[in-house]
Amino acid sequence: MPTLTPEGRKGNFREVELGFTEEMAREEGQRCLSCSICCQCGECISKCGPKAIDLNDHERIHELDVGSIIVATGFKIFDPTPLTHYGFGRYPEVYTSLQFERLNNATGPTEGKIRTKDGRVPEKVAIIHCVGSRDQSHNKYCSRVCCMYSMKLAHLVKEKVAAEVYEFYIDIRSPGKGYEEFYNRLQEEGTHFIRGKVAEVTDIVDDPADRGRLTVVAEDTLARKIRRIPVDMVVLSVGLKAADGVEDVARMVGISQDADGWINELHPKLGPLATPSDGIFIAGCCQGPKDIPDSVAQAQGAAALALSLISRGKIEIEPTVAVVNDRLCTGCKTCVELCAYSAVSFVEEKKTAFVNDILCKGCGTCAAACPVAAISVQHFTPDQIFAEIEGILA
Amino acid sequence: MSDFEPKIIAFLCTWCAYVAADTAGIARYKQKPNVRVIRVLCSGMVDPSYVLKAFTTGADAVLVGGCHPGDCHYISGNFKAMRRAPLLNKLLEEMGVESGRFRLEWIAASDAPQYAEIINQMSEEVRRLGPFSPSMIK
Repeated sequence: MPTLTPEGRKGNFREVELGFTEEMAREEGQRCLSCSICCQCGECISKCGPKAIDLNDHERIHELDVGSIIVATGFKIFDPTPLTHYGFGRYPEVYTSLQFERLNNATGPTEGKIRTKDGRVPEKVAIIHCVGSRDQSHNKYCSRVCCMYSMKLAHLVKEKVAAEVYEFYIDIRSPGKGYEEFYNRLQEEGTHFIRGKVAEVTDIVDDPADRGRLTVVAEDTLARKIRRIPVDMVVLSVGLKAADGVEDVARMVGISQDADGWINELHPKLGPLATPSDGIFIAGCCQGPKDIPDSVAQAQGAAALALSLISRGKIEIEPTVAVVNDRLCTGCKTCVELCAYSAVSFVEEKKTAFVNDILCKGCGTCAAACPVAAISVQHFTPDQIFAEIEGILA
Repeated sequence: MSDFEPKIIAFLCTWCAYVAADTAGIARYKQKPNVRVIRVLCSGMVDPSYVLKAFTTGADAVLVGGCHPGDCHYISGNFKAMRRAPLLNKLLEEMGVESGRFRLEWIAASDAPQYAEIINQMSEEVRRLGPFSPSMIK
């Protein structure tokens, strides 16, 4: 707020604080509105027509008894900070694809206008594919969705600000209905596709006229030359990773993950939604990177599988389960600790182990560990195995 | 000695090593015909007594094939097998069974070439060790 100069205050009683002009008041109000810390004034409650706001609501934990569980814990994006040569976090105009998506969004900070952080309309935008994917030092797998969303972003940039868009790719992977056609359409629109992995993003420019821009350095493997392209914005098409905490969920429901953290399905072709634990189904990116149509298809399939269990009202179990011979069991509880499915319990009254044949999968770990051979797996009993050994060595 | 054909008993996990063995056959990988397979549900169900039984019945070597650590169909059965193996090795050693005659290998369902390689390697090694007779057990 402007104030009277110290000299002007001498010998009078005039107001020291001069007050805001309308423009200044608006600016000050804007600052208050966008400071984004709620002071709980409650003004929003009275303004909200459908009365959707409850400032006193708090977290509640519901405990439900359920017959089947669908695990759909999704993914998180690859954090490009370790890839220091891309300058993410160092140069303000380097964005992850998700940040750029937000910038594009009509409810985003710019109301969907694509602008640099200092408010300029970008003239050149680079999109770098395979950030953290297909990379021996990070994730070896292809994240599968990045090519298509990168092309979608390129299309939006062209449409909104008519900037030159440079896509740096290793291979364009566009399998799917209408996807290859979209790739062709982008080529026709004049998006520059440069086949080569980006070596570095730097603020050192070759032409003084480009000062303030970023230079993307990459080898164009098709033209066989090094390209140094000055751009206003760089978008990193970050890959997909297994979500945080999925290992806890997996352990809780008794399913396993592969080396990359994705949840293992029962069978890659014949059981893509089921897991080795009965009644536990998976859907979406927790199983591996996939796009929206695939996730929706999987989710509907998983829901149908869960419903089919409910509507039938009964389940089939494998005959190969462990059984305890009560006469031999000494009650040492070795098996109780070993069972990965918590199917073995100890019966206090009889002082023997008991196998719940609904939970038991028949892995036989308990049978092999039982010091008195009181447990055997049906159809894989020691006598049967011994007979097999004798038979094939005869 | 030259016409000695080793008999190797392989306890293969039905979810991984057994599938790999099947695939190795379908894919026509060259492998020695010395292996006789016993399908088990999990490498963790292979009781040490099965291995001893195989040796006392006339096997020249025993292979246990399970899923790679972390990939067990039954969550952790292969870890149980992994922990059991050194003890079993020790026992076999004390009984006079050379260490090359018992092997625990991780063979994923997609590891058909590796399976064939393990079989060939093991056959050669056992051929070198010579026949095993239950009378050699101390």
